[in-house]
Amino acid sequence: MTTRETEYLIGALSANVRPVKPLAGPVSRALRYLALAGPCLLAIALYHGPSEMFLARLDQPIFVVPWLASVLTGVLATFAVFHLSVPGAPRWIYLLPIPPLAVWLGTLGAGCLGELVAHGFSHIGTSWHCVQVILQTSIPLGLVLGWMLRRAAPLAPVATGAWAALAVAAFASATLETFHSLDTVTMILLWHGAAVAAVAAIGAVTGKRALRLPV
Amino acid sequence: MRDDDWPELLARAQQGDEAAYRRFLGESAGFLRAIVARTGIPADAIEDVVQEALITIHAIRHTYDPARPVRPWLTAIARRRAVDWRRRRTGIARNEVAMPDHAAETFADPDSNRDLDRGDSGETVRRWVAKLPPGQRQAVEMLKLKEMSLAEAAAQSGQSITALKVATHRALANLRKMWKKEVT
Repeated sequence: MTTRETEYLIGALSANVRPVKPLAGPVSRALRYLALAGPCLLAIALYHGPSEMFLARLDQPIFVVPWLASVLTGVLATFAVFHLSVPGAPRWIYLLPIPPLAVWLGTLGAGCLGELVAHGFSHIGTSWHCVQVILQTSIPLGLVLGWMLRRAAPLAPVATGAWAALAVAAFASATLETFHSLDTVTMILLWHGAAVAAVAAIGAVTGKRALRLPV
Repeated sequence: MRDDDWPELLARAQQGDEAAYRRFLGESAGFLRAIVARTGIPADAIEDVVQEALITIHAIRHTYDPARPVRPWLTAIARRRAVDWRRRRTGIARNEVAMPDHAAETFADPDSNRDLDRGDSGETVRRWVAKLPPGQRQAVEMLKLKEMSLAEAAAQSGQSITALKVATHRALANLRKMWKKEVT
């Protein structure tokens, strides 16, 4: 094609161009989502009430640090998603949720290792309930997030979908932890980690299809 | 290249300002071209990618935040379209085979049968039919060109079926003579 054709295309695109409502800034949209999701998650946590085990562990860094890191992962992943949902995001935005995610998984991993050395595999059991609750909480949170991204145009739909799913799964995991505390760090890593990874993988696959550019 | 006005032009375009939009797209096309060229896209495909980027810009112009710089927004779109072009090209290359050197012997060349095909063209046949005597011409037109049945042609022309058969036979003999005369 030639430059003349490009000029013709520019003429065709600009002729009778319709006004469009600009999308709000990514920070503003992320805050709006957090303002919507936060109270809902708080309501779920308060409805069930904090477990005695959760309250008793508030002075134990091995449990508190990963819990706070999971909340921070959700918050930063949310900001990353809204930044990535429009073209021109700086590259470091892709890595935004990585530090808290590393702290979350790292502290759980370290605790898990300590437990395995001390007790072996005897304390490992199943907790399908955790997976179920994380999935059930992630779905409505993810749908709201998806609705808020409906006018967006992410140029990296897989990463955007994965981070969106990570955000909602991290929030779901942190909320679940308040009222359904597992006995050991290993169990938390195993069951919460598996559920969050599954949701993130679903988000990546869904993002590839649902968050494609309109043209 | 002056791009100080681009954020304002694009903001006005978002409000439906046709002139501002035309100026923005026209001025930014050069910038897009430079970005696409830097991605290593072959020179003969750069304009295609630029046009795809322009179409994408049009479709997602609402995602530009006038408070933010416009160049990173344009760059990201142009690079994305360059990546898409490469992926498409890779897909095509995986499913297509390069043309062999002796392609001329492999594929038909329509021009090679030009002289033989001359007599088969519809226009030539119609010209020959027009030269036939009226009775023969009518028989050929009804039975061969319009593909009517003998009964239908007889009813419409008022001639008997036998007369139509004879007229057609003579017409075909005349057409055969004209064809021989044409090709020799």
